Amino acid sequence: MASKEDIENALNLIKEKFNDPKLKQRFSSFSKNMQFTFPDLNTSYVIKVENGEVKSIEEETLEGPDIHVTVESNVLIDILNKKTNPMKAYTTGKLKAKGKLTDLLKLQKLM
Amino acid sequence: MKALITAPFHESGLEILQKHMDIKYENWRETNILYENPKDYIEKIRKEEADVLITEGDEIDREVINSCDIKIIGVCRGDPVNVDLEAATDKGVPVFYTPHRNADAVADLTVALMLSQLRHLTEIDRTLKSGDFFVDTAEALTQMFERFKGSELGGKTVGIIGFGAIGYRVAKRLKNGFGSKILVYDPYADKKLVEEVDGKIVDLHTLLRESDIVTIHAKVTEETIDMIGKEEIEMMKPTAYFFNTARAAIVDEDALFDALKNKRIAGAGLDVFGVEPVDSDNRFLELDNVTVTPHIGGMTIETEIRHSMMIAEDIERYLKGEKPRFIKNPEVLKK
Repeated sequence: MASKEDIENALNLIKEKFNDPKLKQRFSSFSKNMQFTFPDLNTSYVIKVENGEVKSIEEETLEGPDIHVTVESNVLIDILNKKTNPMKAYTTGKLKAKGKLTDLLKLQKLM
Repeated sequence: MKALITAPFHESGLEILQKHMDIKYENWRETNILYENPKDYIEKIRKEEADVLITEGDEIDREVINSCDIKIIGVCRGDPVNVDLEAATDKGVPVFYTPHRNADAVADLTVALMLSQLRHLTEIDRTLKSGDFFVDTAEALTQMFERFKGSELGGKTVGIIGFGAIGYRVAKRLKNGFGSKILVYDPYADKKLVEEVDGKIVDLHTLLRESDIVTIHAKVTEETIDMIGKEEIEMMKPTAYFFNTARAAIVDEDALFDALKNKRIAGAGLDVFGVEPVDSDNRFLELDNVTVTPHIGGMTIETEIRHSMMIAEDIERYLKGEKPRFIKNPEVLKK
């Protein structure tokens, strides 16, 4: 189980991806709330994105996030550090993602 | 009755269902709508007054099942993982599905990838399209013939890891069509089917060492996750080819990428990846010794016809009081 600090560092890796020139263009009109729920830490974090820019990363729970990822803290950290791949986590049920198809396809680019 | 069909569904299946019910057909591959959120799906089902759901990817969870008057669920997939089976069974709702609907399609693609690699089709196509390849001297002509010299599938030893519906079909195509020699690694293989293709059951390491071609057709289970790692790839012949049209979780993708980049093995054909959907970002596209396809193994016209007929015929059987062939929760028939 990771600490909250580890998780916040990992979520900042997602924030950094928005600066990738290749992704910038694809995400220029992307305005969504992405909620990451960590059952092992019994908490959730929300990344708020407006027009392709991360506006905030806060520990909170939303009523109806656009994208909702449920994953153990260590699994997400491993994905973002390229120690495991998202498809493996998804196929084995370690990562669950809900949202509209278009939003989930965008999420895949951030993992 | 009224069916809400969001799966791609062939008219032959629609014709059967139309004899028994009204139909609202909204193929998600045309609408681009997958119902992942139960509230949206419930609203849609209620709006259409549907009591039969035929789906490919929509999430049919307990909330959906309990909130709507659903009488039949049909899932156009090999395994209806998108349905809460327990909730459906609790409510007495039969769940029909389509095992092996795409097994022939995946087997076809696997053989196509093998031929593509053995005859260097990916490299040849890229070279010719580069705009930088000219054959205007005798030397260039002979160099071209040497560079693009391929090899034949006939006579090759093909190691099949996972001998279920797809592995067996691959073996049949290779044995009967090309005369390949078949090795099988699958602790659960049906020995009669292995004998039918003159296959030989071996352990994993023997298969890796002796095969000219290694192809994965196993399911993802605790036993198969990361089954092929650096150590296993090192066992393969340097002239061997590797194919995966099953699932990425079975292979250490980083180890495979390194082996292909360093020409530790000859080449690969891959339809499944750690990050999907595949697009131009896929790192294997950098390599000329790899044929990349974007997880389209099962995508054929015939797969759609097959799953449509399987679901429609089973629903018809069920409505006539006959025994359906492909039902995931047969216990509901006793209720």
